[in-house]
Amino acid sequence: MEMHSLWPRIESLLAGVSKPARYIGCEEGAQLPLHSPESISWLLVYPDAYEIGLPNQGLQILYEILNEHPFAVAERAYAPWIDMEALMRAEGLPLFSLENHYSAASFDVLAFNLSAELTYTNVLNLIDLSGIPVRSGERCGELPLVVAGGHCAFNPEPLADFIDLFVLGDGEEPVVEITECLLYARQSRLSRQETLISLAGIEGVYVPSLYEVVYRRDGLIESVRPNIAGVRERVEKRTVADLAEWPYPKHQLVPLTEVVHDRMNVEVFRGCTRGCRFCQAGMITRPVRERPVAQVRQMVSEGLARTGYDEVALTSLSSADFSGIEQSIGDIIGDPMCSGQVSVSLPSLRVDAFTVGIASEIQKVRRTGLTFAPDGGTWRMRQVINKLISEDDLFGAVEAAFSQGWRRIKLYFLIGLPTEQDEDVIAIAELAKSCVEIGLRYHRNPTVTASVGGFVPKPHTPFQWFGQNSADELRRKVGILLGAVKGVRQLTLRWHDPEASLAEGIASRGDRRVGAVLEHVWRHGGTFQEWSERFELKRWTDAMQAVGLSVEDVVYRERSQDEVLPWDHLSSGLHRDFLWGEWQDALVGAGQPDCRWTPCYDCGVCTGYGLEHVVASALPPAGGSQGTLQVLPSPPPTRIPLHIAPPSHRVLVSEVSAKGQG
Amino acid sequence: MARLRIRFSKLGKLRWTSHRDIARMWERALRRAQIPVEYSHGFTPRPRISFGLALPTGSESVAEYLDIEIDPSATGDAMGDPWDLASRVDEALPVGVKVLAAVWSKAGDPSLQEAVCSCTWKIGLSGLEHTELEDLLGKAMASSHLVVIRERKARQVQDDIRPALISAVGGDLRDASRGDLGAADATSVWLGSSCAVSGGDPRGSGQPLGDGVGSIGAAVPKSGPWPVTVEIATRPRGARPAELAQALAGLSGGACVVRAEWSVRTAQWIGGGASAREPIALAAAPALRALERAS
Repeated sequence: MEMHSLWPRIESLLAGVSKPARYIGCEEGAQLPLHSPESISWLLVYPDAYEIGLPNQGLQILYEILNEHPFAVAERAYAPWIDMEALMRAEGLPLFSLENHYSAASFDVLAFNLSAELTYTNVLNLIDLSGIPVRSGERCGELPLVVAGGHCAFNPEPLADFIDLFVLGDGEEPVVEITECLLYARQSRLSRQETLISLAGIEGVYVPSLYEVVYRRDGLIESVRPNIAGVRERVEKRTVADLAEWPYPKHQLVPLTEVVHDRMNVEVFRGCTRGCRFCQAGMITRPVRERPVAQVRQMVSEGLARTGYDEVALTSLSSADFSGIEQSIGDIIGDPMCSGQVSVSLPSLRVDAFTVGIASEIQKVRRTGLTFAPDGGTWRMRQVINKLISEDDLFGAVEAAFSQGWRRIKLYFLIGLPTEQDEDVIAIAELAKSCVEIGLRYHRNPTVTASVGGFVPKPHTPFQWFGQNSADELRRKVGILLGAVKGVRQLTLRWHDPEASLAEGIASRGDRRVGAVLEHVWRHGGTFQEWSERFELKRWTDAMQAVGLSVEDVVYRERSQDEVLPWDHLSSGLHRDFLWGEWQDALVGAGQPDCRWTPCYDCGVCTGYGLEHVVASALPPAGGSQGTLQVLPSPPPTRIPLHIAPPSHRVLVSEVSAKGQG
Repeated sequence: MARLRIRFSKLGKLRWTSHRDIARMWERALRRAQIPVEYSHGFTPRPRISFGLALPTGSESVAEYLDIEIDPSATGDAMGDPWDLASRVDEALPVGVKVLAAVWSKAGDPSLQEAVCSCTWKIGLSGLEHTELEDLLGKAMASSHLVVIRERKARQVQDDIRPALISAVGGDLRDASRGDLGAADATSVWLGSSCAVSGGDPRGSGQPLGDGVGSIGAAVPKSGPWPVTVEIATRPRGARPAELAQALAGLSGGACVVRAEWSVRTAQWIGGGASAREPIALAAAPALRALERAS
């Protein structure tokens, strides 16, 4: 398709919309790629507003990798806000890229980042806004291939009717392989269907149209199997073995206008083996792969010099667990480029005094608030979810924070967890009140905020079988909490809308039939469902009814061990037996330690993929008990012996005797 | 204390960023350029920079200003050529924002906010024929009130912008499209050459220019946009180009839907009448340097 800039037409709309800088591109670090008939053009799309999507590191990493490829170019797009979309539709303007302002449909590939389920209706809307048929079966010939990846792709079934192919796991390598496959397909003049079959041969690529779902008479799934020969029965996720080989993003985008997380970000490790049973990210991103400290230092120092940011975040699922955390912080603080004006942030703090010590070192400048996530209110509840934080850990951390100058503490909890009793809910309020008391010892007016989220069970976790709490039940529990915190002036309770948790539940564990629900919600105006002012549960319940699905079946029902789950043909490397065992252990409150520092219990990932943890220190971090030094209530099961390589600059801790076995 | 006063432009796609966006952009650029900016000593240290009048989002300018306090321990007594620092930060600014000139100013001088009392704008007005425009401008200058509806604290209020309107004259018809604002003096030459790319991509990748942005002598539609040069006071309350358009539409009795298609702030003025001067006039030496760099 012919490519020309839509900028003059776009600009004529900008005086009439909010935050017009969302649509101009021009960020520091943005590329202006030259398209050619010989290259494969990707449009990387984040299906939410610019200020939410721009900081996404996954998208920025793939943007650079593709633009470095001699035969690929990549541009970006975000969901135009409602006012802009209305003007675009009235003027017949399609979704456009931010760099060259080309029409989305003129690209070879439209690739969506799936970071949250409630953005799914935006995905449909953006495909439609591109002028492309929403359903993949109606696309033909030259139209772009619609691709999706990201954490939510581990249950892609609700989007299976709309997306041509999904990528499971780390995208660094597959985007290059897909590019090369598309170049081959173009040279060989393959049809769209032939191209898709050829792409399905790439490890980690799932082409849903090549699989048939057979349902039983009771509505459950009988099987999900390839509908043509030669397509793999089960798709395994992709994993980057060594983060040191991928120092991306090298040129982090610096937006011209306000966005969330507006700071320099450096990913210090990927994967987490704390083993929190509710946490999908911790399950699907195993094993742990740390970045070498020297590389972290270089990325921080070059990044700050290039971007001019005065804040750097060391990102990961639990950055205090990074072996090189103290050294990295020391490096940043000692860097002459930072000259005392740069603050460091750790987006997810571990709950212990040691971690607060780190925080006090790095937040010398702006000591505003600290957030801890005990997640469960009682020790029993925390054993169920395997978040093994003792009250001593929490109170020690809170005491350390208040005594070292912080006045605001935020605590994050989940309600609606498996086996939860009302006393577990009340205990959340009690914990928070105890934290207020600690605060009062140090400050006249401390603030404690307890944020409570309604738990949504996620695929590929031990809780994937659990029946989600109903919206009514979650509301009742919020009511209990409101009663229990009454009268404590220094304590604020915040909670996530239980109705949004219900909609998220539909999209999270639904099967292919939920696709029609998403389409119904979208066609009835349900876009930007992540935004509370745009969310209305009725659109979702109406859609479920119209499609003939029950909320009870999709969301509230507990699944049995032998039930075929909609994502069972897709693998995150975890043995189904491991997940089931963890589910059973959860129900009796049995804990599981962190396999980074204790022997392997064979969840399946390292053994199955021939991978190893990449951690520089074979010892657990000092000061934290979580999953390391605590006495577990039950004796650990038999382990495979631990092998530790001799200490060196960078040590590989390996659970299996040699790489490549199993 | 050494204070560096900078005159800069905001042109092209960047005009859709806000005043706050521009402030953040400068803070980052100053850090990238490693300019020894003085920081406040409070609980949250902030770089000591102060901006002049806010430019409405969507407008362009070749007359934006900011003052930067430079850490004297880093520069010493020999403050040197201000352009040395200014050119360093210029390289760290995004395309579309450009340092035009820089001077050292005295710490005791009044701030830009206090000193500037009026601005000159070039505005392209559309939605009416040229004779109608000339007629309305005459009426506007002759009238005692020019009422516009403004949103203030989420409430709609009526304001009179007539006190802010110092002068309003129709421009040369050859200036009708934004691409040919050019005239004889250095400012306008600079303005003209930079505006030639502003309708397309600021990186100058040769994008086609939009409607209404043509070469000199190109036919202008009967409804404009027509260039108008206005001088607007900043006190007690200024007026935006869009508000001038609204006021003219009101004067026409609803006969014309007047729109400000484009607007460029071309000067800010300290002092009124014959003694008016710019905080930094581009006719001075730095402007010639700016000119060299722009070509």
